[in-house]
Amino acid sequence: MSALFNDYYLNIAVMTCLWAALSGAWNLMAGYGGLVSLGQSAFFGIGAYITAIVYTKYGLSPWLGLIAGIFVTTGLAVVISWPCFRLRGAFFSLATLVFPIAMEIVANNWSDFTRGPSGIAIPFRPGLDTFIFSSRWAYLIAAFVLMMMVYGITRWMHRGKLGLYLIAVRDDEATAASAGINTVKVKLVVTMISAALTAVGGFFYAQYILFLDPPSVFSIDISVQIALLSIIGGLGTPLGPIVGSLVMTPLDGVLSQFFGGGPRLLIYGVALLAAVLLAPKGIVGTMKAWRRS
Amino acid sequence: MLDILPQLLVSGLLIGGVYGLLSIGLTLIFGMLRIVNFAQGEFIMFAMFGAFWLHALWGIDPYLSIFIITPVVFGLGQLIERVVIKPILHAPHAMQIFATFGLSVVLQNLALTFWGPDYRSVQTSYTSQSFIVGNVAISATSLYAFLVAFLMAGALMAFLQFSRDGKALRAMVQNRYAASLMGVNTDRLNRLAFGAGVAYAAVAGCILTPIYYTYPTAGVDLIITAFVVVVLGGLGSVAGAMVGGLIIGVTQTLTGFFISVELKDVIALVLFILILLIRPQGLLGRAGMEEVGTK
Amino acid sequence: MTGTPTQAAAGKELMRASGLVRRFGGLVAVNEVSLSVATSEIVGLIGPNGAGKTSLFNILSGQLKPDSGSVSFSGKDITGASVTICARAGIGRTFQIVKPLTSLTVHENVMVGALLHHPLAAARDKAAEIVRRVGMGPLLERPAGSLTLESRKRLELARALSIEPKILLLDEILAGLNASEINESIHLIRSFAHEDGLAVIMIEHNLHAVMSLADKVVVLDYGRKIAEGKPEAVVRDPAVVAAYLGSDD
Ligand SMILES: Nc1ncnc2c1ncn2[C@@H]1O[C@H](COP(=O)(O)OP(=O)(O)OP(=O)(O)O)[C@@H](O)[C@H]1O
Ligand SMILES: [Mg+2]
Repeated sequence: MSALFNDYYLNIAVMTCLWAALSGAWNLMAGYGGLVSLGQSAFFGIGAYITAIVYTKYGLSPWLGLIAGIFVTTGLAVVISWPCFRLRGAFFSLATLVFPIAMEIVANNWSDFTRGPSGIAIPFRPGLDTFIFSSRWAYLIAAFVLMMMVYGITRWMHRGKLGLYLIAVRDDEATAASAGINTVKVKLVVTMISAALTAVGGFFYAQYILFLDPPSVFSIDISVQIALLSIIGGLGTPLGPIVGSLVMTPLDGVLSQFFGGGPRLLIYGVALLAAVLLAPKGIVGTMKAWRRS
Repeated sequence: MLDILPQLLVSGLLIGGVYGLLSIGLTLIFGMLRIVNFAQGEFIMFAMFGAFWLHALWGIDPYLSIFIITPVVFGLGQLIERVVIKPILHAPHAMQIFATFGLSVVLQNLALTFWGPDYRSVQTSYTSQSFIVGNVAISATSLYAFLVAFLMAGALMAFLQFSRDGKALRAMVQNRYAASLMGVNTDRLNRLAFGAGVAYAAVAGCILTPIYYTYPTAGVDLIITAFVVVVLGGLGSVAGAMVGGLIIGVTQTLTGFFISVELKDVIALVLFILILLIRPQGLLGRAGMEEVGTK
Repeated sequence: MTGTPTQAAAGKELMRASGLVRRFGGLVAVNEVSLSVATSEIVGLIGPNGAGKTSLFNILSGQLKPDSGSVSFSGKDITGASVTICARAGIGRTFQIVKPLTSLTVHENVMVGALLHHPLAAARDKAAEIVRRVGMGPLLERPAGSLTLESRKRLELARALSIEPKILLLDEILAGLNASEINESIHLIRSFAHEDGLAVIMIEHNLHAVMSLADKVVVLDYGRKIAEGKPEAVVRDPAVVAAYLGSDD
């Protein structure tokens, strides 16, 4: 009884860290670079799928899957986002919306690798080499490390050279270019970093949940959730995604106990709207503004 | 194999007209407000539920319910413009995108909460009726939908061309600042444009009810097609939306038949990306429109 | 270094544009324009509204590709090069419609350019120095989004300087300033040319400023160059007078 109870809270803690990390990776692109991607779940799902395929189909260590996943997603990020950089604002978002949809179609139909709609179950063989653990504490530590890694990268970037360049590109591309910034390169670099970190999140998800099917990793809901946490916490701040996840993920855990999909997502939608309309700077940004005044 | 071609073309054109109607509201709102309304599909879905319930409870014909639902949605749209759209008109893109995205999540899950996830359909006396011309069968519901679509498109174009408000709206598209200096009340026009944009979604929803299933995520499935159509035709162009609709309708019907039904959607997505990259202003959009819209 | 303008103008040629043409639909915004500027030289670019002055700047700084003609800079052909490449080569410009990076401070705005040649800490110092030089010292840590138009124009200048350019393209940076601010700016611009040895092309409607600063004046009208020469000579040119009188809108 108490172990179960404990597991429940541990799971929420793990998911809080994982979502904070995923949202933090998105925040690099969207918050700093103004690249409001609605397609993060493509990177997430590919990371998860490659991990699972490498492990279950080829019997290799999921760590190899992790490395392969990082390479594939960053490569894919370059291929698909390079042309999209010509598009601005909402047009960029519209184009990115397409990739997870396309990936879901691929995952559903390329059954030899993905087992199609029935999904992949990952056998439970605990060990560091398989990155599967019997104790949730181990997952919590790993998720926390991942979250702190994303936070560290964001901190390092924040108002450093890359961060300044990204904000410049976001604020006005023509001005940024006239300061000698290679705007395409800057966008490409941040997209690759973001994609790689998101793929790591996918790897973690696969080895933690031990089951994936196309909708559970490529769904648009994942991209929305990723964005929502940063927006609520504070877009373009290093701490924003963490604060957002600390507030929303446990709340989500409680909500899903009491409500089914409809009302739960309804509350999500209302939270998103309220955040955008009432506190567009998010929790962190609003608190900063308070302290200043 | 080839004698089925006329049939496919006709079916493609008919569904294409509906795609066009789906997209008009989106293009209108973008043209006037420079906002991509990600919640447009949910307005269509709400209208579908409206038509469904009016039919289920009181036996009102879906075509008749256009006259009840459209004004309601028009009013609702004006209210939503006040609360959600107006505050973000000059906000950063991320906020604009997620305001309408949030709206879409809210509306979708309102429907899910109240009416559940079931697929529903409306059966009317003419549901399976069709006209035979030569060796082509034309389904009555698709034909009616097609006619309504073109009627509505024509009405909107005439409105923009000839009416006082229509002219003011076009002036606002040209130059918001100058329009406000000339005494055009941009607040009222914004409200009008958004209301009209979602009212068009309502009409589309009503005429779709006899053809399509009604369910809470119907809007999501429809809106993707509408995005493709609008981007193809040129964001902001009403005529472009109709032409784009016809092209997508025919393309989808042909690939669906000759290649595979699964590929139907992929083709549309590929087309979407290609157009965005090669000709972001679309077929009939003005060059530079996407620049204005995206800066 | 208090050389007279004529002495200063004896620097070596830095930028040369030949036969530049740029059309927008049916409109020829820049029509067969040629122009050259040397180090330490100040060229005034004048002409009625819509004459194509900004469009010419856009071509020189890589914003627009010319339909024909060529631009060389420091002896290299840079025709059609991107804005980024032009900036890295040493072309600094201001925008007529100011474009500050609104979510950054004045200091950070300038740092963005200073990072081109300096690492972070040095760029910070360099940027502060430039901000003070254009007289914005007290506004150093102000968000650029909250500046007045006058300060935004100064910030444009600071940003253009931040990449340590060899040439400055200044697009109406005096518009909207009062008399004493204009005088300050005139001294500043002169110091860029004569102390730092920069080439300067300035678009300006304020003829007093042009007369007192420019070594050479180029006049555009309907995209064409209709006159070029010493300021005193150009303003007496009948074609120039006609262009200005004929288009008083
Ligand atoms: N991107 C563009 N697309 C279409 N026409 C343009 C574009 N940019 C400039 N033009 C047109 O080219 C002509 C020259 O414009 P330009 O801005 O170069 O003039 P200018 O001499 O700088 O005028 P001003 O003194 O008002 O700043 C104008 O008629 C303008 O409308
Ligand atoms: Mg100009």
